[in-house]
Amino acid sequence: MSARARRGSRFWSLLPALLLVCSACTTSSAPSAPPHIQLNTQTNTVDVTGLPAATVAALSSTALTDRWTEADWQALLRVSVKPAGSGESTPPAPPAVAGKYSVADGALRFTPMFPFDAGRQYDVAFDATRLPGAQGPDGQSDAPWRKQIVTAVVGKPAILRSPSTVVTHLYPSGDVVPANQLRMYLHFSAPMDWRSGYDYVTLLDDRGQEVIGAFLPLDADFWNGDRTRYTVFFDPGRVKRGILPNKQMGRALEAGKRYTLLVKREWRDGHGLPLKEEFRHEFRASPPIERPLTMAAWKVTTPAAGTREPVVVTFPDPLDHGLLGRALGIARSGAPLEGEAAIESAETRWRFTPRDLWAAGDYDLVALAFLEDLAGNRIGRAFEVDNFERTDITTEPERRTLTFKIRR
Amino acid sequence: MHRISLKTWALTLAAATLAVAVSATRTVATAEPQAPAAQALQSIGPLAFGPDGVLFAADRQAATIYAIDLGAKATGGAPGAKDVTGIDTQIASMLGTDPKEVQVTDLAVHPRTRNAFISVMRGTGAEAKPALLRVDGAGKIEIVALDGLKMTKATLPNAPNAAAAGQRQNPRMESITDMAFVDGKLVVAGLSNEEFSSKLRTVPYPFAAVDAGTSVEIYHGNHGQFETRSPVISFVPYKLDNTAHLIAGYTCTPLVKFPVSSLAPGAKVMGTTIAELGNRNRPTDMIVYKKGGKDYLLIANTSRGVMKVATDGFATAPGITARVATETGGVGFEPVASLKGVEQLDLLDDQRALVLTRTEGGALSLQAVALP
Repeated sequence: MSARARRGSRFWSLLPALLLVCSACTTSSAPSAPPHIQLNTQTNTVDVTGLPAATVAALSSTALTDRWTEADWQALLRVSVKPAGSGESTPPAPPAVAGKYSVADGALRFTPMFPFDAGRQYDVAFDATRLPGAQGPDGQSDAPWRKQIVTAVVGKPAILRSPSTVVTHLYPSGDVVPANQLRMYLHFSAPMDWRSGYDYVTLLDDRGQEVIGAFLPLDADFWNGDRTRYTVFFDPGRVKRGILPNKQMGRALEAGKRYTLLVKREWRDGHGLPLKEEFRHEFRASPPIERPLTMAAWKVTTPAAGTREPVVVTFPDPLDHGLLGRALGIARSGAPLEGEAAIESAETRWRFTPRDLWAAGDYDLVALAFLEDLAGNRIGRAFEVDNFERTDITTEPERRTLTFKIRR
Repeated sequence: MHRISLKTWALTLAAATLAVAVSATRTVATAEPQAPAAQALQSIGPLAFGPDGVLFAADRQAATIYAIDLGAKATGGAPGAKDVTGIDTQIASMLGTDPKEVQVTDLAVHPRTRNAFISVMRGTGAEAKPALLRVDGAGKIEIVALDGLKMTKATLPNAPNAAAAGQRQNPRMESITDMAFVDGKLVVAGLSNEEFSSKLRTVPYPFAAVDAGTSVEIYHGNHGQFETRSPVISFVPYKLDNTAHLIAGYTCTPLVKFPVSSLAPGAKVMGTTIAELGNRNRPTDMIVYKKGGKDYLLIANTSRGVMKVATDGFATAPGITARVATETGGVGFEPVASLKGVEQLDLLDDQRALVLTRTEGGALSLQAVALP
């Protein structure tokens, strides 16, 4: 159980709102009183309490626990998801919830394999006729409840939340993108549901009509590690000239036209809630960029030695925000420099502030080979170029460098 | 919704060639023998059975592959497979939740018992957990408790980063889309959420301590007519002149085959584009089978149903080298109209496939179906 879930359990344990409907139990502590069924919010278990000591001892004896199978335990104490829409469980009952059975704190305890869901109800059936020692000399063999099935409905209260997750950023952040734009990044204020976002992102044209088939129809995991960033891929088959989808459908974006990227509110966050609001981003398509990146076209502005002022690298066109975050660095004599990097001006500027003072001398701006612009063009290789006749072993080195000098 | 699956299967086919370019970089995967159960999976995605019934399970969240010794869980049930209608509802009930909270991520048939193993994620948010289930020949569904099972793991290398160690953010960049065990090695296809490219790694098994992976980018193209960096979505091992090959389904072009031996640093992959299956469609699951003395490929697709492809055409058909003006091209295929709503597919035996199908009403069922 996570720390968050534990905090939640403690919180809810303080509330008297624990749902507990017990059709055959009472609060009496008389010897012949039937046992209680309750959801223990401290342990997130279903506990059967009020059993005679001899019965508890019998349940915990190894002679029994070695012999009984899961089916035996489920016949004694069965927990199942309460079917939706019915006032009470109706046959055929759904399969029992999987879990472990034990005796703890004088109670028969069921620990589900996965924590019970908040807001979900569970049917519990305790068949006292299957208790070991039911005929034994425990003083209650003849108690009426020994011949009954004690039932209850238990559950944790729903956690009431209001939709609060929003789209915080969209990259590329500029309002102009090339017609052969390859991907976009959506950043969220909180972790999202881990499933695909394909159904929730739509491209609208300047009349508000959906551009059909704009994005890669792939139900793949395009999330980052904590599911706060989702990558939207335009269908590359339409982006690249000469490929069948491109021939048949053309590019989704046409230069000169305006579009809106719409993120629907129905997209669920990590709590299963919709977004607080839909998100719209308007942009215009410019002519496609079909040439490779050229580091020589980058402008490097250098500070003076003895300062911690940033080095600023300016690109003629925006670069991919996600790749910029890890494909650029500064090194001296081959060793990476510690510092802070920032991406600015609609991804046309990269700023690096060193941890230590600049020393006079040569430094290298290092670009890893996978750095791309918005259209998938890499250093020395355009997205449109086919690799049929050559291998990247020789044409795409791992690192490219641009040397600059820090002066006194 | 279709999920990626993988199968281990091999048949023989005569040779055909087409040049494809490749780049290769050496990478290192870390491996940890006999990982304690406490280090259990964060998530569970593609499954593949390996030698002696070891189950490979991909943890996409951690970019890690676990090799799981199923122990008694491998043989404890009635052998074979049985249809289970509404299996999503039954699984959800066992997991204590609603079917909407359960996402099936793969289906794999045990090579000896022919029991079905199904990987699912319970929950969709931050608290989502992985679960593995076995369905035996009596239709009994059992949760395979992962804690307590012996397992080893191999973690994919971190994404390259130009920054100094102290300033690196190391977000996960790669998701595992498919796996298959071929000639003593696990072949793993990865999909990046940043780069538009494909990574195929071969990881020797048993997992070695270091240097356990080779990253190879596969390019394929026919004189400029096809996408060159398109990610591999699913693939199936296939023997060609007693040499292991892969038949791979790509996002932006259909089926390509190339030899497994080419998946090495410095190698140049030779592949053949076999068939064009139509746009707005991705082959998500493939098996190879034999019927009436002929080999066939059965392909589940995102939007074009299930297709049957006779592989004897693979040997003689030239690669698609000219612009495909029609909807489809290359080796012909036959739509299998009887199979609808197939979300997962694996070979059950010589006569049948095992599928998870979604009805129009939304229910998921496990079915053994005759191979077409």
